Amino acid sequence: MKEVRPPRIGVSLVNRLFDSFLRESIEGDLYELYEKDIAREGTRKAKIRYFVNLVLFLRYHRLRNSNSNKSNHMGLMNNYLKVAFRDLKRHKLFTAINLFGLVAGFTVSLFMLEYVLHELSFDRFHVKGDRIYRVIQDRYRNGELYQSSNITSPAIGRLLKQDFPEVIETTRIFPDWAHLEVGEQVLRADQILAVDEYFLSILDFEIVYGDKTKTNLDDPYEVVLTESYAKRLIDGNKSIESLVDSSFELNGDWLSKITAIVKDPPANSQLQFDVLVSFASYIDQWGEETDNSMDWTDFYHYVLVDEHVDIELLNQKMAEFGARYYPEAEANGLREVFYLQPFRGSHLGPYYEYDLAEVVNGKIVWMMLIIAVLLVFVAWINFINLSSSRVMQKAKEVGVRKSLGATRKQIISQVSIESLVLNIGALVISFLFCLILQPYFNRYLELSLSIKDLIYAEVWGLPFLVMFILIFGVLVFLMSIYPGSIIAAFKLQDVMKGNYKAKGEVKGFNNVLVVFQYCVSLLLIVGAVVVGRQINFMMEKDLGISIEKTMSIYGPDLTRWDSTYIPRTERLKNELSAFSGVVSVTATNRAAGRNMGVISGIRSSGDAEKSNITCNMINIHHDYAETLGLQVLAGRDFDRTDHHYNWRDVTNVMLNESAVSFLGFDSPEAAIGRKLYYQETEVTIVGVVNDFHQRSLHHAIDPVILRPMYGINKLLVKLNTDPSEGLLAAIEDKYLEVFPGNHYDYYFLEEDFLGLYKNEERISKIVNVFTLLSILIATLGLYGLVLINISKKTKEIGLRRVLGATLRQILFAVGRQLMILVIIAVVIGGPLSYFLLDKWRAGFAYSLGIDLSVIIVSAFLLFLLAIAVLVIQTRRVTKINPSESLRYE
Amino acid sequence: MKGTNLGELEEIILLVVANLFDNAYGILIAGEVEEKCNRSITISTVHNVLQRLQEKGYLESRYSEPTKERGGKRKLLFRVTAEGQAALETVKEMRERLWNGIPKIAFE
Repeated sequence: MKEVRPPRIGVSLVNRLFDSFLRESIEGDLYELYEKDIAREGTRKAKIRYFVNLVLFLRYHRLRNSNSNKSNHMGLMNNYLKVAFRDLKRHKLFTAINLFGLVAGFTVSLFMLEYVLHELSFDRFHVKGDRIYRVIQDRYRNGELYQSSNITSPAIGRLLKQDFPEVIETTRIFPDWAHLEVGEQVLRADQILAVDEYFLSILDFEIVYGDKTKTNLDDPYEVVLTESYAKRLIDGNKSIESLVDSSFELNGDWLSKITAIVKDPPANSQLQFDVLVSFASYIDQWGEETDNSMDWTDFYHYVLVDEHVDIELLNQKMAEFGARYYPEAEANGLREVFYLQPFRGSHLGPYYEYDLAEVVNGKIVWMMLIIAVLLVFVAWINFINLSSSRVMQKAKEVGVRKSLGATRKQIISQVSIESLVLNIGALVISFLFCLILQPYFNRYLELSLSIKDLIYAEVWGLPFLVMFILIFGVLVFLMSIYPGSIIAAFKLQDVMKGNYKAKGEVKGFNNVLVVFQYCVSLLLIVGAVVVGRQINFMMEKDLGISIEKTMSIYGPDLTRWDSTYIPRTERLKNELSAFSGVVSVTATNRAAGRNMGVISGIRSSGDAEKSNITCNMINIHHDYAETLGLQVLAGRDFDRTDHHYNWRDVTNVMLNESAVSFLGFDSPEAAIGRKLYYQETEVTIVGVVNDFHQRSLHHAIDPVILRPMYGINKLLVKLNTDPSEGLLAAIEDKYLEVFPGNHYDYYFLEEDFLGLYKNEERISKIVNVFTLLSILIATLGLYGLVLINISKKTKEIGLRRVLGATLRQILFAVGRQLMILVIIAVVIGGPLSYFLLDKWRAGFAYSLGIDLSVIIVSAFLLFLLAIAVLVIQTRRVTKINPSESLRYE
Repeated sequence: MKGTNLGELEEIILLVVANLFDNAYGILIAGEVEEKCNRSITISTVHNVLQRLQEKGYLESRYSEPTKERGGKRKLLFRVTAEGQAALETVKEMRERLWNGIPKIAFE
């Protein structure tokens, strides 16, 4: 049997915490339980249980006692606690500043932790997750990488399994959408995945109804629904279980059977779907191509590898794979390279083109974590600075305790108790705030997080909460000891004489902390401004295509393409255009904001050398350019005669400006009348339009070939005002009149497009909150610090006034040092923020430069705030009659 | 000495210890409680009750010889003392008295 070894930290905790007599029995029992849990639930859960049991064991009478003189020790502790609470009460202002800073810092950081842990938890629920990989295909042209994506051809999975024994199983996925006809109802399912029978065995999507023992999705026309989608299909009073084994029409005439219902994919699953359709159905409908094509790259592969496979090694072995199956590509100067990417963690990037899964920028997730930690440090610095400055006020009390025989250790623990009380109190309050504010936070950031993300999270196989409490405990402990050790270092005779000043190094340390605080604040202000401006820039930049007030209506998917299609479409467009409020109507297969189709194997008469060009392609109606404000730079726009019922008769195309040079033409004018060849057709370039952004500004403008085609994927209706209820209803009626039996749905292009910046908007909101809090906390800290310093200098200020100093001179005298600190912070923080933000900016194809004035203005703002605090405090002291201030101390 | 009355859980565990004569230790006791009494119990609770019973003088404990099992840790074995036996008997008698005192009509 394999030797079982409980977590080492746990064992050493047991040894440290428990009474020496009971320790062995507890450790043994925990060990035995751990053994059982491993057998029953696996190592990961067993580890969690181990810690839970350990914590449950913590009852006072079992704990180890280092001090034999128990009662006396406890008495002193009680006294310390009492003194600490009294002290906190007496100095309400300081308690308030500290508590506010800590609670604000902790609360926001807890939220951020939730967010970060949620992002990190993606796809962790798949039991075999650490052995699942995604197949990535890199495509090179003349040694240059031109596409890196996880779309591959449908045969790749089978070939991988056949060639590499390390690959145990593969599953292929084809994302689709369809209409479901259940009884009278026609429902649209946007998130359909066509998957094979291995999908549910490699990945863990739990079957709730249906036969768990049989293989699902192996035969044609088998369908698996998610619970929530199943609920949409039936009346409220029937159970969804009754749907199992029932049949319905998919896409009009695919009579399909529901074999099982699975739980909804959790929020932290990259693969989201409503309906799973067996891949075999698609092979049956679309032919063997769907199964064994080598060129149709629209399929995603997830593979399961054997245990203990060195993935680096496997990827090296796969280097030959592409050349083996694409020999003719090799001859044309192209290269296809396949490799595996770990599934876990793929949510955090890198981003592959055409990915079907949601990918976030992992760097930004880590950045959020760092900012959250920084904010906590800013709050803690306040705390350290204030309490170490205030230590002097406690010196007398400590002196008395010392003279009564208190040891150094006792003094330190007495002073530390106060900070422990504050920190733990703040943490408890923050947890409560978290619970109360959760819904507001979620709404603000459009997330659905909960405290559970934090409590049940695991990091590196350990329960996060235990780690959090340990780290928090250690940090608070260190911080609490600091003021205590300053005070314990005072000599008794000095203290009693009233002669106590902090040593030089203490002040030096406090100064470093203030500089750090202001650096962080500056960084955040500059960050907030730059991020905000970048987002505004993206949202307002001219896209080259006008998508404002444009409805995008889903095409009539249930209507067959036949000879009546074109006249019907024209009729719909004409009648809709006649409505008041509608400017014009057009249609396309790829609306702005959505990915484009790709066509490969193009030859261009402009560039004889390249024989296999891949370019983006959009099908449009002849009125597309006019409706969406594209400018024809050369040649002519499409007209109705360019459209043909048979797509092979379509022989005229347009290009955008980027495509002109991409396809090897010198100028738009030069391209007119020239030929392109693809898929055994020859087409003529009749016009060139200006460049436009089809995708978000993260991406550079792509070269695009525009083709006149009458299919409708999206019907685009340009309005001149915001539509009234009546107009919307009229459009719907007209649509259903022309294309009866279809499902009507629409969205607005601009809204959809701006949705592409959701992540950036979220970051901007978070950074804004961080910035505000950081400035607030730092300023409050400064306020407290100045308050203490100035009250120490009350006498000095009084003297200066008597000698005739003006307010400005006094300010200079008392504030000089503080100003120097802020200036140092600016000198360090300014370049640092420039450097960091420049890196962030690199993620955008189109970005604003970082304006130096932003940094200067932010620095100035911080400076002003510091001066304001200083002036307010100094004025207060200078107003005191010198006859009183001189008597101070 | 602390109070001599027995709580319900204390009684159960005392009985289980008696059942397991000379081989009663934490995990095994917990397992027996779960199996025989059909209630789930955490190991720390078992330890706690055992500790309390020992303080009351109803149990005595000693460490077993070290074995290779459980990571080489010895078991803390419990045995019911004479006082423990007396306490159990008292409870049993009290229960019987009460049962016998129930008029027949009450449970019809």
